[in-house]
Amino acid sequence: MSVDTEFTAYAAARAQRLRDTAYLLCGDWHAAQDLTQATLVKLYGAWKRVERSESIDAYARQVMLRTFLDSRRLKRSTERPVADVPEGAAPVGGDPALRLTLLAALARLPINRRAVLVLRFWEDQSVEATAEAMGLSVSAVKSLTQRALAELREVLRDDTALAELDFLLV
Amino acid sequence: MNPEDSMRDRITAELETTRPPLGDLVARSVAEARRKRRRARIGAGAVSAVGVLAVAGAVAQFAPSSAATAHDTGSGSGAAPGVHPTATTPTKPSPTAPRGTSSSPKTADSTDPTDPTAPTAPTSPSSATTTKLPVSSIVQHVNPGPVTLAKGFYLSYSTSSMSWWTYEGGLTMQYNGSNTWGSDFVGGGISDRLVTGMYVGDKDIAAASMTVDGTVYPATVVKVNGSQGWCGLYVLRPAGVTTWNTFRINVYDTSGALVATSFSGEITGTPPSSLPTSQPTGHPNGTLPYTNIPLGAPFPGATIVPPSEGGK
Repeated sequence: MSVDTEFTAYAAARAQRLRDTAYLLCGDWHAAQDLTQATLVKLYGAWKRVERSESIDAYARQVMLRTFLDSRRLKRSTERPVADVPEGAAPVGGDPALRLTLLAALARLPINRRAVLVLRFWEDQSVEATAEAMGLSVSAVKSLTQRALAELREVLRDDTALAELDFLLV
Repeated sequence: MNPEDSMRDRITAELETTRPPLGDLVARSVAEARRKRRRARIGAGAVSAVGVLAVAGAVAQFAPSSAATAHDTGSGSGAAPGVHPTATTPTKPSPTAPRGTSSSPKTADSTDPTDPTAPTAPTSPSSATTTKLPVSSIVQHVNPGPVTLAKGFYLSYSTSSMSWWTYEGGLTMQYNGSNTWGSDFVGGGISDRLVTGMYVGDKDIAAASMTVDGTVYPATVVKVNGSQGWCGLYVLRPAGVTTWNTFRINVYDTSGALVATSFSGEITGTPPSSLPTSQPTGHPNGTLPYTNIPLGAPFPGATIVPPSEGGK
């Protein structure tokens, strides 16, 4: 089977999941589309080497994270794309329909905290794996996670589901 | 369901409500990846080609240089064997020294710690080496003005003249718009470490060699911006090399053909003008366009310009 055939089969199977992860990181579907494409292009370039490794998914996840963090570092001072106008904190109590969605709250977090939450709770990575992927220490990942959840809780206020996540911080 | 699963399900649910169709993301990614790979291959090929050409150019430059050495030292001029075991390092600078100075060669000035350096005047990068040239091509385009070669060694160019100045003195050679010696000629001289020359003619000089006592130096060809009909030549020999008995100047055009030559020194052998046709002169019929400019005399209309600085 040729490289193109193998890669295309993998990409077709994983593109949706990769793009979802990209969306959680970027907070914007257009940026997520671009990030996913950039990740797939890089993955294609390293396919012969990567396909022999144990986890292509882990490699793809790593490429996407690095690409995202690099691009954010470059653009952070000059560009901040937003899909919607800035919103205030969700009203306490009130209509659940007006409550800020978890995704929107996630998109408000700083990129490092957002990336930690995505890896930990969306990609189901351990603290150690997250630390390795982000090039941080284990304690730094724990600290970032704690602050990210605290910030989410502050934004979402009455979201009881978040309270349960505190158990993960031990 | 644990809190993590709960969170994941919640995120999934929210994604489901906002997720746009995937479209041709995979196809576009593969196409872009192929383009990138193609560009990388073309780039790598170009780098390889440049590398091969660079090596070929270096080899071609080296080989003819050896041939030129053989030609210059074996031209039947009767030049004495090299009395100065000097390096053949290409150096820079200027024109006509009084022949009389050779009878009492100046000794090396131990107080002069300088080495041959590049001119300080505004210059353009050296032109690319032509592979046919028998010596390295060192061509500099300068604006009119002074050029400091090293401490005590100065050149000055105008659009019609060149002056040199060393510890032994100075002289100006001037191109007055006419050529009374023929269509192409070159003349020069030596003072201290400085060997200078001037070519007058309409050829595009691409390289020159200055052979002093058998040691061949690729000369720097100086073309003054705004000038026409002449160019300067110079070599600044290594520090401590100041004496000489014979020297020859050869200038070559872009095709590598010998355009003009000048010999100074006692001729004890066959004159260069009667060289056999088998001599590798670069000239089609083997006859050198021989010119022997009287040394020590400035060109007609020359004005000696004192140096602005330096001297002993």
